[in-house]
This record gives sequence, C-alpha cells and structure tokens, in this order.
Amino acid sequence: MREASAMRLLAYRDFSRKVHEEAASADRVIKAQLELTYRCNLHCLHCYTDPYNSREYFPRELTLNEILRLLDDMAELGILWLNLSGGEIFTHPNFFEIYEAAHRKGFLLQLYTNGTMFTEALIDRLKASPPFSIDISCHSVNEEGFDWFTKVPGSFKRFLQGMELLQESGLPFCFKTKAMSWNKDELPEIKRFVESFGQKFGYTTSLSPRLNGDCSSLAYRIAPEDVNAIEVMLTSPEIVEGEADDDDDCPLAEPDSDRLYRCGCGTSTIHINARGELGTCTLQYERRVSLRDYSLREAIQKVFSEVRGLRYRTDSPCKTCKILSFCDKKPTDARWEMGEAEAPIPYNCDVAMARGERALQRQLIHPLRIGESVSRVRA
Amino acid sequence: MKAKQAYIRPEIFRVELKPDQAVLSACSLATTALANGGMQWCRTNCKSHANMNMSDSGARPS
Repeated sequence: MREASAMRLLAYRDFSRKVHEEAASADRVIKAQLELTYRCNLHCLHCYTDPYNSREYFPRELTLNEILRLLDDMAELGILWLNLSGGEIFTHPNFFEIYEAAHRKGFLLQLYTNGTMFTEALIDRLKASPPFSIDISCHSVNEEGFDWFTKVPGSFKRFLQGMELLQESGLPFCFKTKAMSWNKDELPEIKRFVESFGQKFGYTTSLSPRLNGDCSSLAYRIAPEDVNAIEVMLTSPEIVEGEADDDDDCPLAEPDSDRLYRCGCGTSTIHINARGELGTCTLQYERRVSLRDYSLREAIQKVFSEVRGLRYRTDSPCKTCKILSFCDKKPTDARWEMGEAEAPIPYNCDVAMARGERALQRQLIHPLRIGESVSRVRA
Repeated sequence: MKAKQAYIRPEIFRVELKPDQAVLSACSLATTALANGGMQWCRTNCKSHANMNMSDSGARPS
C-alpha cells in the first residue's frame, strides 16, 4: 500500500468540485440530510419541526435499526456527505451509536445542532471520530432574547458554555443565523459575536411554515425593505464582486421551463425526515415516499422522477416570472400559506423585487402587477 | 467508428478535509444564495462557501 505522504495532495475544494461535477453528469446522489428525531430541548418560535417535538409523536420516528439500515443503503449508493439534523441531534437516545456507525462507513458528517447540549464528555467523543463540520444555530446573543425565543430559561447560558467548549476543542464549526423581525436590530452584534470565534457570519432571511402547516412562524419575517437593508449591511462586497465576475447568466430572464421545481431538486441530494419519508429537500413536501414501504433506491427513483415531472398547470405569475432568481419561494410553503403550491407568495415577490432592484440598480415591474403595467401602456 | 480513448491510469490523491473550502452546489432552493446579488446557482456551477446564506433547506456547502 502506498504511504499517504507519497500521494499527491488534492485541495479539498478541487476534490469536492470534481465529485459534484461527476455526480451531476452521472445523475448520482451524493448528499443526504437525515433528520434523526424531532425531539429537541428547545422550542424555538420559528422552528418547522417543533410541532412534532412532543412525546405522542416520537413512536412514529425511525428506530435505531431502521436508521442503521439506511446508513448501509446510503453508503452502498455512494452518498458521501451526510448531514445529521433534527430536532436536536444530541437528544436522540442512540445518537453516538448512529454517529459512530456513520463515521466508520466513511461519510463526511455534517452536524446541525443548537449548541446547548455540549459537555466535555460529548466533545471528547466527537473528537475521537471528528465530523466534517458542525453548524450551530445562533439567533441571538443576549440572554433575554435568546431564552424568550427558545422558550427555555437558561438556554442562553448553556449555549455560551457549549460554544466555549467547542472553541477549545478544535473541532470544525460555524454559526448560522436567521435574520428575523425580532432580532434584526441585534444582527450587527450577532455578527461580531460570530466573528469573535474567527468564523464568517452566515445568515438567511427565509422562514417557512411549520411541518404541520401552522404559519405562525411567518410572523417573525423581516419586512421586505428591511431584508434589502440587512443584505446591504451584512454582505461583504468583495465576495459578491468576485462571484459576479465568473458568471455570465443574466439574472433577469423568463424561466426556461414550466417545471414547478427549477432548482436542483431531484438531482444529487436526498432528505429523509424523522419518520423515514424521503424527499428531495428539507422543505419539499409535494412528493414523499416512505422508506418503510420502498427501498432507498426505489424511493429515490420514484420521488426524483415525480418531482422533476411536476409542472405549472395554471397561469400562476411564478410560471413566467423574470425575477425568479431573486425569489425565495418554495412550492410547499406556498401550499401552506396560499393554499396552492403554484401560487405566488406576495411576501416573496416583494423581497425578490427589492433584491432585484438593488442588484440591477433599476426599477422593475412587480411580478404581481405586470398585468396592470401592460394595461397602462395600452391606455 | 468511435476512436478508442486513451487509457488514463487511475491515481489516488490525498485530500485534507477543509470545510472552509466547501463548495455550494446541488441547490435544492435555487434562490437561497441569490440574495447576494441575483446570480444563477445551479448544480454544475459550484461556488465558494464564503459568505453564503445558511438555510434549513437548499444548498448546503459540501
């Protein structure tokens, strides 16, 4: 066997790019997100899984044996990146049994956690089989706001203790923040907090209805004009310029198909929820198949083909929208919020307009008022 | 007739895992990253992880 030191070194970014490109050309699944459980020690007000974070729902979740069998199936399919998510992953009674089995199989493990459950013992065990990355949710850096939002007094203190332990451990981690109406004024402070750990600040403004269709989480959305202001304030300009240089696509163009999902849904990534239902994305619930009824391979084939086949059947403005590339709409969100997956979500239209006008430095016609503009021109 | 392709000997490389070099691809929510300026992201158009928006759904750096 060749010595590792004698082998040529390939930069991770080149390796990853190559794997992604090969998977795309061969139509192969290489990434999976597995929700281990809906259990969580917190009850964040925006959380899409929290409605099922209750004792009566846990018996429906995947068993340890079912999860271990799925790990075998995923490895056999050639999946490389495995994201373990929840709920809170560390509340799963068999977390380490699952984690270590996945590590032994060679997955590059990405962990999503709220960061409040780290102890020295837990970190030592992770260090013995290190993950590829750990993503920590960080929506506030003041005790009152944090504990109000999680509905658990003392959670902020535990979060801070966890972050100190994690920082000392040397394990790879980063933070992710939801910019919301209640924490928008705190964002510069959150950014400073994140950067004090030597991390880049990453955020999203997108919120979704909860998995049971409850739309109360949307009350925490930021006003569209504030989304724009925040993106201007928090986006580092040098990176945006660099990315724009290598891209020839015009962001203003009519969609080239009438597919309901014009993104990468149904290509290289799968999502498996805590009940063993397979989909193409965390928040895609238009088509799901139970892995209790189908093998992983069969389920992928069925769901991917159905999702790719979904088309706009109505004259929804989304079908021909030219500012699509600035829009956060997800069909399942639209179904919960507007009653129909094809329907535009006015909030998303407003945000897309604001982003588009900022990016292109010119006035655009609002996608929901295109008919009015045409009438004015004719008159 | 199709010409024979030259044989390329397989080579094993060493890769150091560096999450900060992760690329963004296979976007399940094509728009997640567009907030930064409206560029089209797609599965064959991998981008740097740097400064990306982090979301529950959609593109995850890998």
